[in-house]
Amino acid sequence: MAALQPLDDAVVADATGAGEGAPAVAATTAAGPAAGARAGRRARRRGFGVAFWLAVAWLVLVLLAAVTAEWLPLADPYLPDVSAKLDGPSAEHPLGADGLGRDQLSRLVHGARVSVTVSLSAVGIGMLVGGVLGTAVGYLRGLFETVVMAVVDVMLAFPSLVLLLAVLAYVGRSLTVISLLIGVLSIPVYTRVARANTLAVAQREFVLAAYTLGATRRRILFREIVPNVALSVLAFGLVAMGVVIVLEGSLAVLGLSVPAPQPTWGDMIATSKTHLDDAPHAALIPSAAMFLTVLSLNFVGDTLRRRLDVKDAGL
Amino acid sequence: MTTTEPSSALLQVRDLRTTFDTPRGTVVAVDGVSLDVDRGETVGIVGESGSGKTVLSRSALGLVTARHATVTGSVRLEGEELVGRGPKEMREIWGVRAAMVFQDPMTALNATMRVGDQITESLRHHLDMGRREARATAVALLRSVGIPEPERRIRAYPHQLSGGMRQRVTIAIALACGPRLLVADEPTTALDVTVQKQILDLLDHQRRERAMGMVLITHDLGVVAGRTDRVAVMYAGRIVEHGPTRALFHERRHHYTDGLLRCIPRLSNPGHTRLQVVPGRPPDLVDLPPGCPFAPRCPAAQDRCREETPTLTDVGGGHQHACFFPVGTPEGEEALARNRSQDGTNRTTEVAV
Repeated sequence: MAALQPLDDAVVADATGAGEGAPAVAATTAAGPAAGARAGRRARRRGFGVAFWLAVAWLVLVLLAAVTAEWLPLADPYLPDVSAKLDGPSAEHPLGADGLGRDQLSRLVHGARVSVTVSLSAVGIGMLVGGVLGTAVGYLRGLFETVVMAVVDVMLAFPSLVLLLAVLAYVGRSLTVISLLIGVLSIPVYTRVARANTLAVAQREFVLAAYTLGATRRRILFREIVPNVALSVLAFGLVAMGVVIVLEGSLAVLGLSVPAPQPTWGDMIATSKTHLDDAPHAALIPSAAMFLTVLSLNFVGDTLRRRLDVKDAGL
Repeated sequence: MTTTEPSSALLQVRDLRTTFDTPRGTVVAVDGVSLDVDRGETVGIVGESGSGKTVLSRSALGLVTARHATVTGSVRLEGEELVGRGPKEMREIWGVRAAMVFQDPMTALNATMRVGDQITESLRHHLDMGRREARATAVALLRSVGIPEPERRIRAYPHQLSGGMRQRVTIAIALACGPRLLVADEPTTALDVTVQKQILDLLDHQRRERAMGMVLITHDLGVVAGRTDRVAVMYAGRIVEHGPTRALFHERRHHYTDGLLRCIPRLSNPGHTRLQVVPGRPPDLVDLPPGCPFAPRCPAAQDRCREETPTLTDVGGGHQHACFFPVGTPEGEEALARNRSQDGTNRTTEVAV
C-alpha cells in the first residue's frame, strides 16, 4: 500500500523507518530542528559583511547629524571668523574654515540637513506616488494603463533640469519647493519600475494559485502583488536617494539650490571651488561627505536588493 | 445533448473547445474534448508540450480569461455548468469545490507570506473560520501532507523549505477547503525523482481518503501508469486515445500512444541501444490542415489520414481511439507494412506532405 510518508526531504536519510501516519513524525525530525536552527544562525552570522555595516554606520551618522545639528556643540555655521579664512584643520576649526572663515564642520553638519530632507522627501514622494500608480496600472491594465504610461513617457522625455530651472526661477527657491519638484520629477521612473515588477509578479504561478483558491482581485493586489513589488521599489528608492543628493549639488553649483547663507553640501563645494589651488580642503571635504553618502546609499541599496530579491533568495 | 444522459460524473466535460485569437491566426488549443471524472477516480492526461493539456485543465476550471480566448462547450461540476460563468461566480467553486496543484512549487507560493498564512487565508475566507480554528486546521493539514513539526513550519517562509516540502505545502493549500476535484498540473515535473514518488503517493493517499476526483496532467507516462484509473492521450488539442489505464498500455491503438510508449528506454535493452523518438514535431495549431493531425509523423499514415479526420471510436471496455489504421489490427499492420515497403523511395515526399 502506498502509505503516506511523512518525510522531511532534507532528512530523507534519517527517515528510512518512517511508517504510516503521525507517530513517525517525531522520530523523523529528531535531527531536524537542531540542524535547521544551526543553519539559520550561520546564515545570520554570515550576515551582510563589514562594508555593509560601515555604510549603514555612515548613513546613520549623517542622519543623526542632520537631526541634531542645532543641539551639537558646534560653532555658528553663519559666523565668519576672518582670521581663520581658508585655514586648514585646527583645534578651533576641526575641518578648517571656508573662504569667509566660517567653520566647515558646523556647515557640513548643518548642510547634511538639506541633503537628508531633500533626498528623503523627494524619494518619498516619488516612491509613494510612482509606486502606487505603477502597481495599479500594471495590475489593472487597459485604457488606464495606456494613458498613464503615455504621460509618464512624456515626462521622461522632458529635460528635467530645464523644468527645474524654470520652476525654481519662477516660484522661488526653498527647501520645500526643491524637495517637491525633485519628487514630482522622479515619479515617472518609479512608475516604470513598479509597473514592470507588477507585470512580472502578476505572471507568477502563486498569483494564479491564489486566484484558483477564490481570492478576490483586491486581495491578490494587496497580499500577493504589493509585498513583492514593494521590495524592488524600496531598493530602487535607496539608490535613487544618492542621485537626488547629487542633483541638489548640481543645483547648488548653478546657484539654484536653497538660498545662501543656509549651508548645503552642494553650496559648500560650489563656493569653495575657486580656492581649489590654495585651500583644496574647503571643497574636498564636503565633496568627500557627499561621495561617501552616495556610495553608502548605493551599496546598502544594492546589498538589500540582492538579499531581498525573491528570485535570488531561491524562489 | 448532454442533459439527456443522467451521468453521475463529478466532472463532465463535453465538446470543450478553446481558441485564442493571435496576430497569426486562430489557435485551436483544445479542440472538442469530452472527458468524465468520477468521484474517487484519477484520470491522467498525457501529451507532449503544447498538446493542450494545461489549456484543457484551465479551460475546464474557467481559468482561461485572456481577452483573446474563447471557450465553448460544456463543463459540469457536480451537475452545475461552469462555462460562461464570470470570475465572481467561479470564486464559489474555486478552492471549495475544485482546486489546483501547480507544476513548480518554487513559484506557486508567495515568497512574502508565511506558509501558515497562505493556508489559513482561504480557510478563513471560504469557511468563515476564526483565527485559532484556522490555525489549528492548517497545522492538521500540514501534518496530513507529511510535513514534520507543522506547528513550527507554519511560521516558515517558502524559501526556508525544500522543493518537496514546498510542493507538500501547495497541496495542503489546495486541499484546505476540501475540494471535490483536484487538478494537478504536472505536480512533479520540477522535483527530483525520489521526491516525485513521495508527492505522487501523497496525492494518491489524499485522493483516496477524501474520495476526491483527480485529474493528473503529465508528460511522463511512468507517472500515469501506476496511479490512474483512466488515461487520455492528447495530441494537437484533441484526445486521440482514451481508456482504462491497463487497456491503454497493453492494447494501445493509436500510433501516437505507441510512439510515446516506445520512447521509454528499457533496462532490458542492450547497452548503446538508440533511443526511440517520435519523429517530427507537434503541428502548428494555427490553421491545422485537414486530416488526422498526427498523420505527418505517423508511421502508418495513408492517403485517407490526410483527408479525413478520424473521430473517437469505442472498441469496448471504454477504450476509445481516433485512428483509421489502429496499432495491432490487420488494417494497421497492413498500413505499416505498406509504408515500410515504400520507405526509401517515397520517404521525402511523404514528409513534405
